[in-house]
Amino acid sequence: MALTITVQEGQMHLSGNPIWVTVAGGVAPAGSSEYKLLCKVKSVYGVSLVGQPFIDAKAPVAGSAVFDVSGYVHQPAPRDFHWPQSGQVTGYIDYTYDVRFQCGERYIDSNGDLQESWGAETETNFILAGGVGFRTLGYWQENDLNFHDVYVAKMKFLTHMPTNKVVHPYQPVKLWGIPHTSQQAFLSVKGYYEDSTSYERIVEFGLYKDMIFEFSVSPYLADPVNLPPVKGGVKMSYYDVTIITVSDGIEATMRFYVDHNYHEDCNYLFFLNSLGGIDCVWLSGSVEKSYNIQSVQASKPWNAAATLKTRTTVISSRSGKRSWKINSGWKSRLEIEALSDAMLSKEAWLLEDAPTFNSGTLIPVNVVNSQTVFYNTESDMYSLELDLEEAHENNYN
Amino acid sequence: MLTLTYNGNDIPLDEGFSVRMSWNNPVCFFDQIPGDAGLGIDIPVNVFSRAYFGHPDRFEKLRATASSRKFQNVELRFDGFLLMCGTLNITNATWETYSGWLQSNVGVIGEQQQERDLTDMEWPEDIAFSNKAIFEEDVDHYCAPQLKNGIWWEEKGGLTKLPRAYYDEDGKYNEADTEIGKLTWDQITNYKRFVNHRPYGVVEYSLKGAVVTPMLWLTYVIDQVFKMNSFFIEANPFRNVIDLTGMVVYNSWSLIRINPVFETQSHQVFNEEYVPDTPLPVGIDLPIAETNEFWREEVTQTIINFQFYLGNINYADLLPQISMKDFMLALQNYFNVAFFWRTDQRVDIIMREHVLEGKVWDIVSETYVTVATFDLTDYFSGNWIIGDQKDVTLKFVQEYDREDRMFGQEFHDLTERIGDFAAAVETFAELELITTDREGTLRLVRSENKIYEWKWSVEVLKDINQQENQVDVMKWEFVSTGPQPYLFGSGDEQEEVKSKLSTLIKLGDDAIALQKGNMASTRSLWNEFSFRVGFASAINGYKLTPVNPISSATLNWEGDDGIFTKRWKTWSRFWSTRLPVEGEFYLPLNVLYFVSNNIHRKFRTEHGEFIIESMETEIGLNLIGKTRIKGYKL
Repeated sequence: MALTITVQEGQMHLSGNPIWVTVAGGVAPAGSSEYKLLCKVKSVYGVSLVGQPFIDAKAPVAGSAVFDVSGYVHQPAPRDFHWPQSGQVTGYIDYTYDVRFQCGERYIDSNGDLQESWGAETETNFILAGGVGFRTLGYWQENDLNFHDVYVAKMKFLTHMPTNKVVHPYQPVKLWGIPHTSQQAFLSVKGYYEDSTSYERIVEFGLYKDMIFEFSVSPYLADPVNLPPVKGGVKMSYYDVTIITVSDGIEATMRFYVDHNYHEDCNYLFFLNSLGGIDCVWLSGSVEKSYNIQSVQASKPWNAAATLKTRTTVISSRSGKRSWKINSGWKSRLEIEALSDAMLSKEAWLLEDAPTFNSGTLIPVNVVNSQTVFYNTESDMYSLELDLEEAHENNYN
Repeated sequence: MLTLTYNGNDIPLDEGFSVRMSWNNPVCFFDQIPGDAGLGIDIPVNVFSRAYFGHPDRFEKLRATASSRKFQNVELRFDGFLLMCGTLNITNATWETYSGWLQSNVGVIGEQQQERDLTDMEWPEDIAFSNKAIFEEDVDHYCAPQLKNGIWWEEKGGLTKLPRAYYDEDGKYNEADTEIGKLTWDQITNYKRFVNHRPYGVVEYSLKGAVVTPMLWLTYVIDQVFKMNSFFIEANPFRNVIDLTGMVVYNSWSLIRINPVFETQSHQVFNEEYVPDTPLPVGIDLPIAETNEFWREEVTQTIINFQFYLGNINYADLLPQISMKDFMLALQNYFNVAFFWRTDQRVDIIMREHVLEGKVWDIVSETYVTVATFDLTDYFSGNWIIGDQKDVTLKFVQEYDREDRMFGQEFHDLTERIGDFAAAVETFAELELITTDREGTLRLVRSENKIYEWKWSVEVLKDINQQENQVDVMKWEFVSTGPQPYLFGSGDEQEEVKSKLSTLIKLGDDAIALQKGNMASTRSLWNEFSFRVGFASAINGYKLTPVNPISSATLNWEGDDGIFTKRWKTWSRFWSTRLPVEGEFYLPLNVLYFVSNNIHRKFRTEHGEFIIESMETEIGLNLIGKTRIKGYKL
């Protein structure tokens, strides 16, 4: 019987979750030993997985072997995003890996010679760095779902943030998505003002199925004339962001309520979330900023030429980094819970002091919270304290 | 997530479970075949693990032997990525924990097979000798190359007397008998001392004194040794590099068997124990009748003729008694190669010089190709720790065959006099023409494989009246057989690179051994022979030779075509002055896969190139720790 190879449902997979590839149909020839079914993982287009091709081998159980290939295709790459904000739509090809899987078999035949043969190859699958928790995986499993079905097939935005959250008027809101086919699409940003007027800005763009897309959806970026936060003294209440694909009419929407209240501090945290998108969270609460120093001292003897300015204890090395304790400001429960992604994220950036459009200073940071209370129902208002640390060790000689 | 499976069954692990993975680069080891290992494995005792490993309370009793504490087919994976497979060795068991370590497959091979002699392995038996005119390395298992060995038959069979002519001191012609083995004389007269005499393209063995010695191709032996351990050679310079192709493994076994023709004969034997009834009269001869009492009759089955025939081949008879480990180390340390165990049951033979040149075997083009050095800069986490630069002299030591009188007992290690050596010469005649060397100069005469010293000596000469005169002379005087250990470097510290492999001496057109042989009829009187190789090729009519007939590369260490220049020159320069470095890297799984599967290659960071000697990574249940790499800067 010929070997067959099957990849779990969906063409786009998250590398942080098991990706099951089943090789079946192999039968150990008479007199053979060490019979193994093989699975080869190889890059086919675009950015190669470092070290590919990878070959794994397993003894079959009941005629088949199931390989979890996620460890082979998990290649985190430093992520990029548009800052300062410029274009509305940017496609990235470097963050999804195009891979194929090939089945094979290997055994030592009755003559004692090693035999290895390769069979069919799968169609191209796409891998994105990210992953969901086991509970979600279990839910998907029970409901015959997967990442591709939930997020790619429906062009759902790659975020755990609620679909209607409160944002700053000039917040650099970003949404990310992956299309399931290459086709044309429209990005609509529609602002609704307190006087019941609205304005919609639509742009057409091309989607490619092996790319991840960044949508910078701040209304002011989309159209500073017609979609400012305050137009003719009238405030924008909220705005909707919608992606509509042309061929199959898939639609994804998020709504953002604009908070026009004054906040003494205005910071944002960008972080790479577990679905491969980069979220931007407005941190409107209080800020405690520190500078943490590490130093090594050395002693040296008093010498004959020593003066009033001479020291016998010297700093032989010293380095430091900034750190912040920032309160998120009042958030909804859903938004607070979505911040767990920020605490697990390996890449985050603080946009410090950014009350106006494209202002502020972007600093790579690490979220160092180890234990954080999300909310306490004794209170009706929820906020979160984030511990951030600069992702640099600064020193100068 | 880190998973540990035993025969495909998941073993539950503690939340704090971690394992220290270690990988070694065989290229950097000269006295062992290093294996990879997963160290510090602690498995919690629970209902699952007890089912596999036994109740800890009774572990010591039930699993009293080391082998019973080994569990094969254990796999360590992270997110499905196979980190290591091999044998779990449980060293201790308590109520809470089984403690042990994971031995990679190469380590398993090491333990089970490395100490086993090649001759004890399952080689083909009772194979009819194929007396071919053309032997092909890729087709045949063996070749029958011709060489000279005039004492192969020594101590086998009876002696015969040969008249030896000589002149006495008065110049008069004399003859005296000298004794020589009958079969030795037959070999000399019928086969001109040749083993595998090939006067007409095939081995001639119809006459008495023939020696027929098939010699296994080295590539066949290597392939089979690994195959018998379920490993298979992939990249193999002994097949693909011209200088190294066409070698056979020497042996002193002969397929000739003896069918003795004998008959019953009676002999009168003097009975020394006979004591007459009455005392013998003093000074008076006994009558003849009485003398008969001193004789008794003895019957023997006397061999009146030998019928020789060709027996079948047992391949094990054609191999030296050498363990698999020594066999591999011998090849490694002679030809400057290293055996690299891959995870797919294949073994690549890596040429160390290729490591420095950045060459790898390309399975598609079946050639060695130069590849870009893999860059680890993106994963480098800090600064290098630079060690003390070495400055050592490399001493390449070969183990010569002590049973071959061409080497014999006259070998003396002249390492301490390395500074006295001048260039080798081909013949003694050439040496005698050199009279301008300073006293104490040593030179190797390649054709004789002997080392001579230019020194002050006293010669005793006789004048016309036969009176002895002592004369002070300068002369080339024999000091040792060669070749000597080859030395490279200038450091005071010496590092020995030992190999049990050697070759034969070539005089004129022929390789020569002076070594007693072995055959089925005299198996109980086994004459040792060591691991030696030589080239055999149709180009020179299958004459065994230490010089490659195709490329002129030799198996001797000296010279432009010698082993050192051809195989060791670049590596030795690097290794004798190597600079140890150590650094930490954060390697993602796929990069870890690449590095561990290509650990024999050179790597780079922005600071330059280096080769890895060993690397260790601590891997926890849900995290991959930093990888500590120890290596040498290029």
